[in-house]
Amino acid sequence: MKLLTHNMLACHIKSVKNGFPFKIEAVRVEEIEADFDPDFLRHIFPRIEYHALREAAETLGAGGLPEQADEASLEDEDFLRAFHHALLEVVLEEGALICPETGRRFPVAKGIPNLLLHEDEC
Amino acid sequence: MGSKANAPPQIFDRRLKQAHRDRAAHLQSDDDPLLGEVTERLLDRLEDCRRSFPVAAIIGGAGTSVAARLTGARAGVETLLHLDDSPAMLAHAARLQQASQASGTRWPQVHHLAAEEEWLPLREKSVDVIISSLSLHWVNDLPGAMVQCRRALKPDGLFLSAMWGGSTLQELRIAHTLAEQEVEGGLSPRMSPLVQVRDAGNLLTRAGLNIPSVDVDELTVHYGSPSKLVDHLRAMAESNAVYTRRPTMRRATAAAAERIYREKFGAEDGSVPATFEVIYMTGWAPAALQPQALRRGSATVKLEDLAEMQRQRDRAASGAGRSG
Repeated sequence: MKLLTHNMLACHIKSVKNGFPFKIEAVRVEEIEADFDPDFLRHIFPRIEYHALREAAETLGAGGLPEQADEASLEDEDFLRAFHHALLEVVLEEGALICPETGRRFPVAKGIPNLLLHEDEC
Repeated sequence: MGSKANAPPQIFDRRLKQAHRDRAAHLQSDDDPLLGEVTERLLDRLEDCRRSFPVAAIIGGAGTSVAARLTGARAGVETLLHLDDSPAMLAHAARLQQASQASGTRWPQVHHLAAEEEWLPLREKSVDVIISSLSLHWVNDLPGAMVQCRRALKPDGLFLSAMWGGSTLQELRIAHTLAEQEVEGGLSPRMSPLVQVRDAGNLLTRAGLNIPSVDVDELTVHYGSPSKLVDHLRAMAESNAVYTRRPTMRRATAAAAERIYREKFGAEDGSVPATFEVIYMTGWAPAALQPQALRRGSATVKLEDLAEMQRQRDRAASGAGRSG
């Protein structure tokens, strides 16, 4: 699971009011090189909750993102590189996503988060 | 009063459907022609939009067909979240993607997630388009699932879906009904209840989707025999998953159904036709600057004058010598 994916997810248990962002429990994290594409990064930036991304990146040991960022930051090559790295190159292979409200644990195995609910949770 | 009192009726056995999908992942051809055709007709609508959809989500159904058709930056898709409740189906999709990439096709960033369309784990206002090709007819709480889609869409995001409609497999339905009456003297639910076209518009409006549009297509597929049809349904994960189903069918009933199917519907060349009705639904998540339908009777130009205005405009354009 890349942090881009993590940024798009929220806990979907019915009673949960604020299920974003999932906390991350990391067992195995890999760094996988991805093609650097500034246009892609500019398109995705307004669709990302930046603070959640920064926090998740730090959890997985990928620092380097400034505390604040806005559209103007996209002109800065150093920022783009750090943003690219956090978004696409840090991959959670094994671990879990934890609902911030209920603490429900959703496993991540072979890079794929399993967000299926049990019948009694529906 | 328990919370279950207001719960939507449970018509479909979702766990069984998941097992069907796991099985279908191994039975399905790499590009099923029927799923591919319906999906292509659905995605054709993206070309009608003068905007791009950088972040797309696919939910279930013929998701592998959808993903394979969103390559090469089609509709401006750069990030693709592919949700399916069957891990085997996701693995199937990943294999097809690898093979396609190896042959040089450019894919968006694809992210696979095990999740159900009825319980969407997507953050609010996160995606530009949600595409469901042939999955929503297996959902118990269809209005609820569509509301979740609308929430996950960014303002002015597009909900795009295709599902089987009421007259799908009418031949098989009739053959089963007659065979069960003939052999066993009663009826049991062999087929899913399906949405009728007249309900589709209401579903979109009820989900809070604007500019709703609904249209219907009918495809007829010819099979070598009724059992070939049933095999194909299995490979598409479209086998019966109604809770109240009977788990098996008596051999005599199956034989009678096959005979009746051939007698009533068979073609001269020995093939049997099967009808597939597809209901396409599109709607847009509300946004401030969205075009709205005008009030009835508020038009200032007659429709018949429009054609003349268009002709004048065309003449003016060609007169300006753009071709030179």
